[in-house]
Amino acid sequence: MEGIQILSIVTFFPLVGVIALFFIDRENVVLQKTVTLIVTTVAFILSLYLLIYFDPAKADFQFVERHKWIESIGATYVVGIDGISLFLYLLTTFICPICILSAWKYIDKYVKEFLICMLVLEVGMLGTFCALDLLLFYVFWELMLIPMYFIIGVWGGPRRVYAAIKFVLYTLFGSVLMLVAIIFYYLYVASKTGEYTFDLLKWYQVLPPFSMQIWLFAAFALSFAIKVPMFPFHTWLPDAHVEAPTPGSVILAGILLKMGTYGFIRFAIGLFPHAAYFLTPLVVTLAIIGIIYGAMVSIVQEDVKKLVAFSSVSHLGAVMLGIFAMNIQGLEGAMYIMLGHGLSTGALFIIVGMLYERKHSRLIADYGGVAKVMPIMAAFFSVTVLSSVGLPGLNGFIGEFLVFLGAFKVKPMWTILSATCVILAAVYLLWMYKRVMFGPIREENKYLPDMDMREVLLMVPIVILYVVMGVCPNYFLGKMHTSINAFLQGYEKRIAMNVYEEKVQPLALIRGGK
Amino acid sequence: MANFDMLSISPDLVLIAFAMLFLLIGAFSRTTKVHNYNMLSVIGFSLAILLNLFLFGSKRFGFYNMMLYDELAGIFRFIFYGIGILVSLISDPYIEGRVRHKGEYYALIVLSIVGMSFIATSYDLIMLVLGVEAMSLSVYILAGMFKHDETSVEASIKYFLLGAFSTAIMLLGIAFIYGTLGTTNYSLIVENYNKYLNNGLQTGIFLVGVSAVLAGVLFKIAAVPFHMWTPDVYEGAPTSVTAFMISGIKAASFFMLLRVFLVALKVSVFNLVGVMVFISIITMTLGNVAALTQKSIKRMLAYSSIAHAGYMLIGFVALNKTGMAAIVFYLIAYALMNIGAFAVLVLLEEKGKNLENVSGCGFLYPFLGLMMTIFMFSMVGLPPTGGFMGKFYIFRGALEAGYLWLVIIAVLNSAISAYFYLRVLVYMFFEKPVDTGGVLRFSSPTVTTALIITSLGVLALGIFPQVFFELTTKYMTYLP
Amino acid sequence: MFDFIVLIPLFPLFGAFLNGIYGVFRNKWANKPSHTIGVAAIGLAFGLVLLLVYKMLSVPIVLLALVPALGAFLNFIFGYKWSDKLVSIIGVGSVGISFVLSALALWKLIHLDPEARFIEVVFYKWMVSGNLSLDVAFLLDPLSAVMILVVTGVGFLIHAYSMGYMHNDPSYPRFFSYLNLFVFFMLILVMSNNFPLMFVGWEGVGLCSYLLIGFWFEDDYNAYAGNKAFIVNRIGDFGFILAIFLIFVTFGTLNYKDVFETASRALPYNGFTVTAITLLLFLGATGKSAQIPLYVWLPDAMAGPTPVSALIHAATMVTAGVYMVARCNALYTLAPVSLAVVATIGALTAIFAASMGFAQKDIKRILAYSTISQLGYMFLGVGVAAFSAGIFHLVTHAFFKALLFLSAGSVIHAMGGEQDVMKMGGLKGHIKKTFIVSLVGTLAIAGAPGFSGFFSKDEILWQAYSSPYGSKFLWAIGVITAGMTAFYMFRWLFLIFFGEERMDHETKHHIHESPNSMLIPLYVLAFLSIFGGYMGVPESLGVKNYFHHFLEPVTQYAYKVEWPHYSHALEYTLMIVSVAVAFAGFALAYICYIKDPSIPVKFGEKYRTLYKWVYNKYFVDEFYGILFVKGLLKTCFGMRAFDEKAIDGAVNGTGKSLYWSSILTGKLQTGYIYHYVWGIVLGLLILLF
Repeated sequence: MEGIQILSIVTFFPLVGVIALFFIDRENVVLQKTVTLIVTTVAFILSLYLLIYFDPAKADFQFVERHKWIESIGATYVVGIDGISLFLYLLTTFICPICILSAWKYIDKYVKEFLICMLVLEVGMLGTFCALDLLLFYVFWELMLIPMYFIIGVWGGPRRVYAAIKFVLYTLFGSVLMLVAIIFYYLYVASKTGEYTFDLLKWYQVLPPFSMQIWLFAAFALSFAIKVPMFPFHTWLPDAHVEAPTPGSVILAGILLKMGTYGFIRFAIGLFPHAAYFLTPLVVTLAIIGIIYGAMVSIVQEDVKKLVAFSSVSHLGAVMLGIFAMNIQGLEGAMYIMLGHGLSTGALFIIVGMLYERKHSRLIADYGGVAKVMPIMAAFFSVTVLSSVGLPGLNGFIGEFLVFLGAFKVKPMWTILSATCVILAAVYLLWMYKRVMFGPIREENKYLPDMDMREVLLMVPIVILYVVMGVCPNYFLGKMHTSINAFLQGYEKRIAMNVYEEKVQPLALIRGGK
Repeated sequence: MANFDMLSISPDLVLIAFAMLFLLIGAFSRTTKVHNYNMLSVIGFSLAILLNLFLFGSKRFGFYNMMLYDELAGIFRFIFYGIGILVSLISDPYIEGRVRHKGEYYALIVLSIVGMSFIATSYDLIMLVLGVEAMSLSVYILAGMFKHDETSVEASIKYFLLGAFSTAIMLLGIAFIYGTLGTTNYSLIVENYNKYLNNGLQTGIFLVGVSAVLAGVLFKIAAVPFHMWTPDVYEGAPTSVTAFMISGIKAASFFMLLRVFLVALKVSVFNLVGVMVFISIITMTLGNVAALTQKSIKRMLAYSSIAHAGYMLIGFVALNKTGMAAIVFYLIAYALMNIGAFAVLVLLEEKGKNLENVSGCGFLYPFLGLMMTIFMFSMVGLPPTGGFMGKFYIFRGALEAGYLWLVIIAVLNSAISAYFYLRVLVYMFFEKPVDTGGVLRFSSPTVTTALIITSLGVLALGIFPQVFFELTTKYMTYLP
Repeated sequence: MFDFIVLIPLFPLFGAFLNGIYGVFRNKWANKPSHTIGVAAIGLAFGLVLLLVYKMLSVPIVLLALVPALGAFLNFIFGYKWSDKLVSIIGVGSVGISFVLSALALWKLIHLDPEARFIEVVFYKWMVSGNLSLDVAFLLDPLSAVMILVVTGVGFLIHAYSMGYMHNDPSYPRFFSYLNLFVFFMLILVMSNNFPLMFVGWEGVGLCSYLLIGFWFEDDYNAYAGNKAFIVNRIGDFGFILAIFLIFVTFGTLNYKDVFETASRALPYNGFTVTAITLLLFLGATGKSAQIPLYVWLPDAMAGPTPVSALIHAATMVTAGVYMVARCNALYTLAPVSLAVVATIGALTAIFAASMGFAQKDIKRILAYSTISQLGYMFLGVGVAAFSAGIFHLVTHAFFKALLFLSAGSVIHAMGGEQDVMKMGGLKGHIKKTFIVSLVGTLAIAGAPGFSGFFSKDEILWQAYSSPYGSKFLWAIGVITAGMTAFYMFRWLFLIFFGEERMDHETKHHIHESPNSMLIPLYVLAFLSIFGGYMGVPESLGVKNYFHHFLEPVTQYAYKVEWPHYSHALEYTLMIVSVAVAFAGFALAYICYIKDPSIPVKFGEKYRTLYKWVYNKYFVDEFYGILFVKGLLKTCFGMRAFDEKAIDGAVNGTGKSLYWSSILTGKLQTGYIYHYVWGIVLGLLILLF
């Protein structure tokens, strides 16, 4: 088990597909898709190795690999996963083949390039979830931008250029500041320990003074908050979602947004606990605003994709609430919503894509009564909607329940405010579902074909997971407990240390460090 | 040691020989195809590189201390010769049929690179000026190589006049320095300064001289507000020549900055830092902001080169080992990605002139598309490219020196810059192809080679920068 | 030995699953080969269920060998055109089985001594997070035993009835899969041993009611009604889940037993926390059980097929709130304020809804309002801490209200879909059997002595008077409501079955009695509506009140207060009073709708406004519509505008400003050399300073 470097293998496995694609004839589209599908599926199967051999009793990182990278600046290639990143990693490998399947018909031009983008994107995402070296993390983090930019820009809708540029610039503004913070903290660590390193675990050993934490946390948090996206920084999301092609939206909603929340847990809070503690009221306020605001705005959207996009804002707000509740229920709930949201919202986008393929419209008003002609679609759609509404017995409920419980333990008011989204979610999703699926059918919709075998096949695993995650969540939670407990204990321990006396100006400190 | 130390300048001698050869061939057989010259110059530069490799590691003064060959000079020679090879490669198809005097073209390129290499080895202000002039004069002509193209000629004239003006200022400054210290030799300048400091040194005049020299250097660097010539000249000049200027001259001028102001005039550096900070800020900001709305790709790249100059100046004001090393590293990445980008433009020919024309080229010519993508993202400074590592390195240096706010301005700038770099890709990939001048006339093996070299180089700098980091830091021996 | 109760909910789920799959893919499986796949899939599902059976009952594994056999068997018999017969077998059969099992459970339970009648069966660990640890575990005690019996029993009858009623409906399998799913969730609700699991059922039944109300979704109104039901319920659930959190934070556990045991020790009598918990829970109840202020969805819920109205919106789901309050008696008895609220809301709803029933014309809507009113009774009962009385009324009501709805369904069936009572009349001659059972139902609900309704309602009234939490006021309202109930129910009966025949000739020609598949369940229910009451004859009549004693252990953790003693004489008098009032109601109805049908018309004209208000249900829906729906939408639109203009505007504004500054800087490049020279000179000057 030590022998095989499973993480690197899985992470870079999609590149095999890229190389293969270079040698496939441009015309032979089917083969290209098949190869990509196979590659991604194999990657998923390989990643199951992690699930099997993951030791839920161990708190520290597992499957860790260390290789020299850039000695002269102390950057090393370190990857590893713990209970927090495990399922996000698996979610990624799980979603990708489904995306390829969902793109089967949707992507009709430049298929080869598209597939290459998807594969590179997968590498970036997997790397981000398992990188334990800040520079490495940053490299993967930014690497994701490039393919995503093309996916939105080339295969997107009418306003794709605007959306793509907006997406990249917005994200970049956040992440460059994070880069500054990374370098800054890197030098600080060096000045404290005398060792130049980007190793996350070594960074955990150091605890900067409060005056510094605030700024560093702010820089990290901004970049992550944009990715999440949290309330005032969310406006890139609707555009990106609406314009992106189905697989793009799925990846975006399913995984990219989770990078932000994941970053909060792993880096922003993990490194700067005091700042996190100090700014909790602010973050939570924004999160709660996001929950309600996102839900209310999505009620009145005409475009299904926009509606789902805003619902993401709402759900991710709940995740943030759970994270900053800073107790086990909150965090595990947050993790669970991340996974559940990844599935259900992804599935929603897939279904919207299917509708779009049939009718070339995403406007709710253009549908109605469709359930009559496509009962299968209606069934899958309804299950997905319900899981997104948070119906008990499906995945959505567990996460929300835990998050709100965790938040309630801290401040009941938080839950009382944010749990209203239980009502609002029902309003916007069911209302949308009713207007799309129910009611008298229009003449021109009478002959829409129902889902075919491929589409059924790509939905079935998702739906099964809904039920599994809803009925026996303990299997998933069980693997998180140790890591999250360790995280919380670490947090408590560091919070207890006093960092407030050391009133020291960052600049001077750096000079001292030299 | 031997005063007439031919060995230390042997690479340049070889190159000069080649230049003569080109001139002769040019004189006697007009019909010689460009790629013959190209082959020859590649051979010549390769020889030069080999000789330099042989010399590398030694530290030798020569010509009565007019010259110093040390590792840094060696490194820069590598850079210059490398640039020489790449530029010859991308020139091959481009000037064929456009320029009658092919021999002269190559001769001038080689000579101007010799000039750069003299800058690299100069240890005396006079020597420096000789190098600068050798470099510049050739480039003035090169810029006007397209005799029948107005813009090209205009560029040449502008560049010549302004260049002459700036050199004049520089000489003036040197004169002041000579007047105050009675020497132009680097080490003597330092000695005399300390000697006369307490008995009647007119510090004022000395500083005026220093500023004048700096002005000359900044002109070559194209830092705001000495940048005005850049957009016009870079846009007007033949694409291959622009690639040459944008990479080579920038490198040479930054070497001047490093050598002159860290060795000869290091005493005055600290007086200059303040203003340099200011200049670097306006340089990168103005460069990026102005580039946002450019229609012509070459002009956009010209502005972007200004912006990059701004970033590199940050490395200088940091005034520490990392910063200086970062400049060198950044120069390498910068040269690679710029020559690469221009190589793509060379192949795109007329299409490459402005943004609308490149519409859809990305999918029409996937290879070019891929290349352009790599270079553009490298210019934005996104991993995994040299551009990113360079920025990272520079910012690290600046942060070590405590210039937090300066770095923040810089990163915000690079975020802005993403807009116009990506706009190229927007047109290349997101827009429908438009028919301008039909398909490409040629797809050249030499340019392709250049593209592969540059792109791999950019990626290598981004993914495995270790060796370069080591090299650059190791020989950045002297600091104020 | 009680492990098997796990199967009670599982069988309906199994049925729902099979019929669901079939319903969804039925069109796809029109041709033979893929149909085989389908059957195979279903066979597989069956196999899974058998696996569970094996797990629970340790039935020999051999059973699993049946799976492929079953698949082949199904194929063999039904071939590729899979008739609805199998659907019915699966649908009704599964509920039937769980009914048998529940009966078995009750039987076994009775044979334990009262103290031991509290069995918890852990199915598996559901979720663990920190100090929160939840099982999927079922609780069998007298209360849940009664409930599962009602649910599966009445459920079974209604399923059977539906076979006839929904006959050759295009989406027959879908109907049964929903219905089974409902039974499953309902059983989860009543059998769970912890709050979150109850919440699962709680929401689940809401979902099924949503699906079934909108069953004929081609009609926009049905879909709308379904949404309304679900969303209004969600408002209640909001309170419910907050209550769960509060309970957890207070007790550190969510398991009934632990909570109720510790309640009286952990919390002060009439303390804030317990009041908050109970009120929040009751908010949930008002949603689910259609009490003021959240009752508005139930009348619209009549849009669903009649069996649905009978099962979900009369017999079982809407009573969940009552069950929940009774289940949490330990908490409620600690919070007199909440009890008062429950009782008052109950009483008010009872009389309020009854009054709304007066002027309705839709045969089902009248019953809907009567349901709301009867639920009010139940809450009045539990609200005065007479939990067994409440549950007793719940049971009898399940019988006679199901009966009434089903006979209404039979009437509609006979009238060819006509639902307006004003277009009926004189039907007793045409459909005698239906008339008889309806009469039984009406008598029962009106509280005619000897019928089940009499005993249960009377007990509630008596408790409302005698309980320490009760009052004469509540009792008075109860009695008045009894009178009103008698009035509108007999109005209903008379308008349908008596008087001249107001239907048009065409329909009249087609009137026919329903098939036996529908009638037999009616007979059974009729029987129960008559004799179901004798389980709980009041002690004062000198008989043992079995029902009350059976339920006693449930209230063992309740906070005990001294119950005042009243003489039997008083109880008799009250009993007589209520009967008298009920009779008065009957008499009034008789006068108005048999003797002189012109009276109501005159009355309507005389007090036009009053009539209008009553007829329009006091415009409550409209009021809500303006206050909440419109208000919400307005805010949402506002927010959306804010989002696009303000927030996104700021983002794009930054870009724009950069763009313009770029244009400006571009202008710097004049192209004139001397300008450039000046630039250099300027730079030099900068350097010099």
